[in-house]
This record gives sequence, C-alpha cells and structure tokens, in this order.
Amino acid sequence: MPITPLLIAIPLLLPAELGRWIETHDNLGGVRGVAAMPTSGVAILDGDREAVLLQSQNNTTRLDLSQFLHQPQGLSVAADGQLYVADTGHHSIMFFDQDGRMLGGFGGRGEDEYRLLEPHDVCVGPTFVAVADTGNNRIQIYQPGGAYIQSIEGPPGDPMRRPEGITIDSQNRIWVADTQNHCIRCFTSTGTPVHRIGSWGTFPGQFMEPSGIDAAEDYVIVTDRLNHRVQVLDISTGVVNESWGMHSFLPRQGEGRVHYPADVAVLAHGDIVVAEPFEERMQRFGVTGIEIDKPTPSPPSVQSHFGPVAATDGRFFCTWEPELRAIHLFDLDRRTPLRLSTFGTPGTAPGQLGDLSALAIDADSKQLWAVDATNARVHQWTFNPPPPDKPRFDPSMATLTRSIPLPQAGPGDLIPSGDRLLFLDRNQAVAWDLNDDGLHTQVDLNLGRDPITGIAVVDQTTGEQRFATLDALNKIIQLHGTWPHQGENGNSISLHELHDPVDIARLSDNSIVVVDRAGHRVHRFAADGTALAAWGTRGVKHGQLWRPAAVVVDHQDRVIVLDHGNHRAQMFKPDGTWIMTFGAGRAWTTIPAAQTSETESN
Amino acid sequence: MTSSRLAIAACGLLFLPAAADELPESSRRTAIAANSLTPPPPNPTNRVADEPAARQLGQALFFDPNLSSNGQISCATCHDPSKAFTDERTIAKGLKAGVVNTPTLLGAAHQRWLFHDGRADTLWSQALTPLESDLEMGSTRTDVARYIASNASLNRAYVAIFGPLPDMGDEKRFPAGAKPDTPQWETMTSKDQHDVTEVFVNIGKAIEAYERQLVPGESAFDKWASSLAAGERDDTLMSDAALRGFTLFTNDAGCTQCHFGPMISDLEFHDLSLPSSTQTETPLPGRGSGYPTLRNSEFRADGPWSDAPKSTLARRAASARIGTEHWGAVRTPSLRNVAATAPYMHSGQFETLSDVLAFYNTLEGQVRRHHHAEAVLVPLNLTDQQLSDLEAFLRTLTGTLPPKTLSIPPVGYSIPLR
Amino acid sequence: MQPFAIIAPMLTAVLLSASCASHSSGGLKQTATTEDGRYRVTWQKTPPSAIEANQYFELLVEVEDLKTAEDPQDFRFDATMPAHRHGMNTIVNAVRSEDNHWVIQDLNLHMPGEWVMTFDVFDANGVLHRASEVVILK
Repeated sequence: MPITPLLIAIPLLLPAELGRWIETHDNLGGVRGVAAMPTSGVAILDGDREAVLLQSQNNTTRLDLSQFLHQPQGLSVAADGQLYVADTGHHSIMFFDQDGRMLGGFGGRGEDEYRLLEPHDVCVGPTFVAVADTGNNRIQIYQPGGAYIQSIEGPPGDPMRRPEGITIDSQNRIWVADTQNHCIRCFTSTGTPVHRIGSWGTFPGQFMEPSGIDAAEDYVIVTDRLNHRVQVLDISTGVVNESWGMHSFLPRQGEGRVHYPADVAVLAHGDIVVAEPFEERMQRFGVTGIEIDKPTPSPPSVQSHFGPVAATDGRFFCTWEPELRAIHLFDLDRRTPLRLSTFGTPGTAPGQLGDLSALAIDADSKQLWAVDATNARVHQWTFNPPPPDKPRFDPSMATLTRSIPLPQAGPGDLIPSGDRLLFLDRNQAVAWDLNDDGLHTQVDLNLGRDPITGIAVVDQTTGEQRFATLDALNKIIQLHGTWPHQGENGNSISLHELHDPVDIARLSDNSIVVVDRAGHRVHRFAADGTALAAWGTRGVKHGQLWRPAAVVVDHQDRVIVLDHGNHRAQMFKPDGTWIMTFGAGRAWTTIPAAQTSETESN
Repeated sequence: MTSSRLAIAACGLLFLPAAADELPESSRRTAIAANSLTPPPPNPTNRVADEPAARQLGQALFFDPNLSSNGQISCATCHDPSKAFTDERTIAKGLKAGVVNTPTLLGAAHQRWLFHDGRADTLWSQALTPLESDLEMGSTRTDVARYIASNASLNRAYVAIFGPLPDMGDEKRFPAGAKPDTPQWETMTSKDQHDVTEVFVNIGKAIEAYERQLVPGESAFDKWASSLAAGERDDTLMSDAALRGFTLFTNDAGCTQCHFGPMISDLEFHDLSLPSSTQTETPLPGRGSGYPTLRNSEFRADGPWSDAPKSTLARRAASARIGTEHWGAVRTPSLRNVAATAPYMHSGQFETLSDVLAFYNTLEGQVRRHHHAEAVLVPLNLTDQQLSDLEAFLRTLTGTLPPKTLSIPPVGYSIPLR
Repeated sequence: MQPFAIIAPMLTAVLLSASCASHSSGGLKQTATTEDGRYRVTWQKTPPSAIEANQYFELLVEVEDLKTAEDPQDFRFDATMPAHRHGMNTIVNAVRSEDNHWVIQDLNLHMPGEWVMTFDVFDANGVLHRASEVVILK
C-alpha cells in the first residue's frame, strides 16, 4: 500500500562551511534588505532612513530615497544595475538608477490582480520581476517595467500566509519564504508548485518565520528569523544541509551569532551577507571566515523575547513572545510586575496562535483578547488572577473561551468598548463591531484612508469614542472626537521630527506618548501638539532603549515601553524619569521595598 | 473552565489496604503500578507472535550471523544475552559504526514504539530494519530468503510455520543483492518482489516470537512491591538507602513524570537537551524523523504486511502526532535492569548511573538548541546522600535474566560458519 | 541612577495540589458549559471507567445549544499540559455519530500531572466556544 510521503525534509547537516564569519558592519540602521550587485558589492536597504547604501570594496555610496519611500522592506538589483525596492508603506515597487533617480513604480494598495498590499520583497530575474505580496498572501509576477503577468497563491487548500521573502534561481524557478506558514516554497516560473519544505519548529530543517531568501547555483539560503539562524537548502531536493547562527540569546552578541535576521544575499564572489535590522548591522559569512561556536549551553538566565505588542488596563500588563507563540500576563499592582501566567499554543487551528498584531485586556471582566493577524481571528480568554496575598504563577490561569473569525487576515487593533469589541483593520483603516455571533458590522469612525499604525483609546464606555490614531505614513497623530486643548492644527499632532513612530498611548492629562523605534526614543506631546518631554538614547543601560516597539500607560500614569531590542520592558514617569526595568523573570527598580507588603522571592 | 477539578487515580488503588502509613501515596501508587508487569500484550499484527514453533525459528535466526552480508554479525552481536541484551558500547557497531546506543531487548515486547526515534511500531517490523541496514547487517531481503531456503533446518521450520517458500534457487528471478532501490530489485516481477518481501516479513515475525520471551525477570523491587500489594510490606527486601531512593524517585526528584507504569517508562518521547556524546556531534532529530519514517514504512502495523491492520494497536501509527517538541525527542527507556545496561542515554552520553544522576541534579552541559524544549526538567539540587539513595533504588530494578535456553541458539538448527 | 534592588517576581510554578482534587470520576458522565453559556458539553469515557495516565481511550460527547435550536457546525477536542507546554502525542479523531454527538478516538494523556481538556464547539458562523476541564492524573 503506497503511503503518501510526508513533506518533511530530514536534515543531513554538514559542517557550516558557508557560515564562517568574516566581518560585521555595525550602525547600519534598520537594515531590512540586502541584495547582490551584478558584478561585485552589495546594496543595503536602511528601512529606518529610507536609504540605500551601495557598498563595494573601495567605496560606499548612500542614496537618500526618503522622498520616495516609506517603510521599505526589501530590494533587488537588476543585471543593468537598476534598484527595485519593495515599499511597504506605499504598497508599491519602486525602481531607481544607481544615482537614486526614480525611474518608475508599480502596484499600489489593493487586492486587484495587479495591485499589492504590504509587499515585503522583490526579485528581478532575467525575464520577469517577482514580488512577495505579503498582505495579499500571494506572489505577483510582473514584467520589468511593471506590466502585470500573473499571481501565484499556492496550491488549492494550501494558500500562502504572509510571504516575506522571494528570489529567482538560475532555472527561473521562484523560491518563497512563506513566513507565516513557516515553510519554503518553490514554484516554476508559471506557478506550478515544486517544493514545500519545512514546518513550524526549531530543529534543523524546520522554520519559525522564514524571512529572507536568496539562491546560488547549487543552494538556496534562508534567514530563519525567530530561530535566529540561517539555513541552507539543496537547490535540487530542498533538504536543509547546513545551518548556522543559532543562537544569540542575548542582545548585541555577534561575530557569527545571529539575531532576528531579516534578509540574506549571496554576493557575486560567493560570500553571504545577512541583514539584522534588530541589531542595526550586517554580517558577512563565507568559506574563508572563522568557524563560529557550535550551539552552547544555556546561559543561566535566558532573557525573554518580548514581542512587539503589549497592552494594559492599568492593573494588568500583557505582552507576548513570538518564539513561543505565548502570552505573558503580569500583575502591575505590586512593587515590581509579577508574571502570573504564560499561555498559548502555536498553530493555525482556531484557538491556536499565529502572529499577533494587538492585545487588549480588561481587569473588571477578567478578559483578554488578541488579534491573530495570521489566522484572521480574535481570541478571547478569561483569566482568574490569584488573590493579592497569595501570588503565584499558574500556566492554567487563562482559559480560552472564544475565537471569533475576522473578515480577513492582517494586522489590526482592538478597542474594548463596554460589552462591545471593536476591531480596527489597520491596512484598510476600517473598524468592525465583532458581534458574538461572528457576524461583523462595519463601524464608521471617520478614520480616513491611510493605514493606521497605532491607536490610543480614551473613552471605552460609549459608542462615541474619543481616541487618537497614529498615521506613520504621514507622521501625524490624528485626534478623533473632542479633545481638550487642541492646537492650531486642529485634530492632528505632527511627528515630522521622529524617525519611525510605531505606537502611541494616552496619559490621564490627555497628553500622548509616542515611541520612535529607529530613534530609540519616547516623545510626549500635549493635545495641542506641544512637545512636553522626550527621553531615551540607544543603549542597554536602564533608561536607554534599543528599538522600542510599543508603549502603554498604566493607571498610575506610568509609561511602560516595550524595549524590544533589549528583550525587556521599562517603566518611566511621564517626564521620562526611569522607574523600573523588568522582564519575564527579573526586575530592577529604585522603588523601596517598604512601599509594598507582599513578599517576593527568587 | 469549570470549577471542579477531577483527580483520576489509577484503577485499583482505592481498594488497597491502608498499610505502610509512612509511605507516601505517590510512592505506593508507583510501586503497585510497576509491580503489574504482565506477559507482553498480544500483538494481533503478528499471527505467530506466541507460537512455539515460531519462537524456535526466531531464536535460531536471532543468533545466526549468516543473515548479515559478511556472515559475521547476528542480532545477538549487538543484543548480547550475556550483557543484558545490549553491547555495552557507547554507540552500536555492526558492519559500520552506528549513530545511537544499543537499547536492551529485555521487555521490548512491552514497548509501544521501537528504536530510539520510534520508527517502528511492532517488534517484527523493527527486526527487519537492521537486516537491510548498511550500518548493521547489510543484507537484503532476497539474500535472507535465499539463505533460509538453502538451510535445511531453517527451510523446514519456515515451511512448517508459514508454508512453501518461493523457488529461491532461481537466481534470475531472485538475484542476489535485491532489495528496494537496487537495480537487481527492478529486474524482478512484482509478484516475485511481493513473495520475497513476504518471506522477509515472516522472518521478522518469527524473530518477534522469540524476542517476546525476553521479559524482565523479578527484581528486588518487584518482590518488595509484591509484598506491598499483598498488604504485607516487607522492607527487608530493599535496603534503607533504596527505600529512601524510591521515595525520592516518586516524589521530590519527579522521576515519575516519565518513568512510571510496569516498564517504569511512559513509552513515549522527550527531549532532555542532552549534551552531545563524543561520537555524535550532530543533534539527532529523534521522533521528528522517526515518525515520518514510520509513516512511510510499508511494514507499519496498519500496512499491507500486518495480520491485523485495523486493530487498535495498528491505529497508533495513524493517530500519532508530530509536534515541535518531538524534534530531538527520544523514547523514554525502561528502567528495568538499568544497572545492567550501561552506558546510558540514546547516544551513550553517560558511562555510569551516577553520571546520569549527576546530570539530572544540575543539568550541567544541557544544550538547549532553542526555546521550545519541553519544560520537564529542572535541576534537582539533591545532596550526595540523596543521589546515592536514588542509585541504590535503581539498582534494585535489576531482575533475573531469561533462562539460559533463550540465551543460546536453539537445539536442532545448524548454523554454518562462513 | 543606580538601581539598588534586584527582584525576581517570577515565582516558581505552583500547581494546584492534589488536596483540591476530588476522587476519580470513575467514568461517570461529566458536564462542562462553555464560558459564554452558549453550549453544554456532556462527556463520558467509553467503556465507563477512570482515565488512566498513558492509556488509550475514547470519549462520547454530546453538545447542547442552550440558546438556539441550531446544530453546531463542528466540534474539536484537545488536551494539553500547560505546565509542560505540550499536548497529547496523538491526533484526535472526532467522528460525528449523530447531529450533536461525537465519538472522540485515539486519546491518550500520556503523562501524570495536570491536563486541561478543551471542548471547542463551532457555531454556524465559525465562532469557537470553548469549555474546559482540568484533569489531574496520578
């Protein structure tokens, strides 16, 4: 009886000859994409500053493309030297000459067959351009000038989920990092599936959010983002036969160790460069380099990978750990935050967790919600915190009670509102009332047309919401409803001095804090746009930040910043005075122990 | 979540007399469960599993090196009866060096999955793999069948149990060296391929019939547990250290998370993030590759060569789940006769029992390749005395070995020397 | 500013002790209601007896919609050990035997300890409604 083979590649690991470390280029900003130049050198995309560096052995040229791009994620260099950039913010592919002159663009936001939604990568082949159309869960094929040819969505019943990386091999086959399916796909140039390699996991041959991909003559190389490593596949069989980089447990570890790699490129002479926006660096590897350490024993206290989303209702704070697909729940009403529970199961079945784009929590009803951007669901848990005098960690504290399907996959925010729950689709700037019965009603919040990056809710008790939204594309905060002390600009606050605003939160005095990821800084503005405070510099000390990703404010007006790059959260007073640093297992604070009565121990 | 919490205890416990007050309930329960080792469970996928004639034939085959390509290696080479059916090597060695430590066959018929990675779900299908493995015996199913046909005593025994053999003397129909994925195999007709595979499978089933007799004998611990079950606990059957060690084993040391039941094993798979052995640097995928291999095996319990493909036992392979935590996970070994089966762990990482316990005590050298290893182990931080007590308990699990008659080739079979 | 305190708020996991566990269900019918009160799930091991660690078993499940007359669209069962962050080693097979009845096959809670059994009922719009039950196996 023939048995259908499982699509699991069994690794046959060879010594990591390709993964020998040669050198590190630091201080490159948010280096989200790398691409080989046709004859020699590398093109480096600094997504923070919307710039491309053309780096060869003798010189480096910087092309400032900030007037054209917003949140670019990937790039490719054509044989004639033209630069193609996947511009996520404009949902387009832009192409430039090597002097930075824009030659054209194609795509544009939408779901139509020729359009794009959050494209994360592009590859220019000899005869066509392939685009990872991330938000539409497909691959788009265009002629080099932008004329649409076809879309590839994967075989029936097995669609792609937010593909972020793409390359074309020498046989014109298309290789895709199918990020939220945690696998690598290979298609012929006409879209016929050839391979589907890997599954969610950590073992060699498995992937956790593969991000970047490139092809050499006889191998395909992949950045395996949440496994913090690079994997090399045989181009004929798809079997993983080399793997390196795992694992940089601690921020700033380098010299071969890899941390949240985003992209990879095989250079003309065979060396490999790996982009690590999290570390703002690029590392070069190759057979001539130094052999790096094998996996090492665990350090005594592995720091948690706090994810880029967080929420609080004042008393409780929650964030999540993408590597575990697990949510951490903290009690803030203690001297230092106490982790009460860690829960969640990875997967694509209803109730299991894909990539979360938002969390919300309500202490009164003891409810916690998460937007699952991968599985297009909102999950809801009930949690039962222990009595204040009997603190304990309980992995069973939160029980999933419901999981509600969403109109479509993609990032969104949640607005608990009395007994209603509003879901805000960030890309479409559309709000939905998530009814218990799963039938959603669109709610008109006059959000405009541009995508929303973050939201700060003021009044959760009535349907007449007063809230603020962050428009990162135009670098403004929009104030919705009636705000006291609105300024000359009416209902908006300009953020043009910021590099990369990614999240906002509101204090009780109606001032708003904004985190600037690329600026490693927090800013506080009054509703009239007056700058009230700003703090943070890039670093690892208490009070310093490294690519902060989210901000919330608790009921004591303490500003909690998710210090993503340092794998921790930090708490500040509204004027920026540092109060505390905490993680899943430790906290550092200046608050005297006498202020609390409970006993905490190691 | 509903407010009620159900505690579901092992059957039978509620009816035990209340003896030995000072023995913790968890220890009592573990002792009683471990004491219930019965003869191996029936294996309906092998119709001759318990037939005396098949046992005899299987025993002859087990000790016969002519089943290997060089005529030097038999099953007993690695599963040496004088070494508790192991080889005492760090890593097994057949024709070539293998990749894992040789597990004992004592109690193998009680296992749910075979091999460290569970790539077989019956003892008969397990027995077939080494025969054709280039690392182990290096033969082929055709060569094995030809040998059976050519050996008068084996031929006679085979025919008596399974019926006529194909005409294995026809070298054109049954070329030497023929097994799947060889050129010789492609020259054979489908029927001849089927017929020779059937002989091969029957050989495995005969070997299983023999191996099912290799059950762990009664140990000092079993005697003590029997006295406990009978309500006449006799602590003179174990030393004080062993009794203290057993209490630790079942309580503070947490060993019974995985080591419980008649085989003192959950029979399933876990990743302990063990350090690599000196001989195997590359991490083994364990169950992560074992399960796909099983799924693709024609010798699965629910496959075409099974005698009961729709039995409950056969459903196991179909319903087994492979998850992230299974990559690198290997089967929990039985602790029965553990003192006699050094070295330890799937790659022979530890030479002695005290080395094993030292590892569990500190987890020193543990290699966590990722964040996702099971959260089963924490350092025990036991004292030297406690570690010594644990070892004393483990040594009480050594039972009597199978009778001498099962440790040598059976009478009446000729094994030619090459 | 020099922080002067290092605190470890992460407490050692304290699982509910056996003292708060009642005696074995002995295979009797058990009932759990989804958190939102929409469905009642009744389940029973078959043949009726206590669940034992590391033994294969089946469950008979009946789902009642307490608010509407609609049949559930689907039903799914799972069991996990939150403290160990893993689930069962088997793929559960849920066979719908009647309109609101399922037979859950290939179950095996393979380790002693605290298991959370989850009963997921899917309504006609695909919303998952979950009922949970904690089972402590010794």
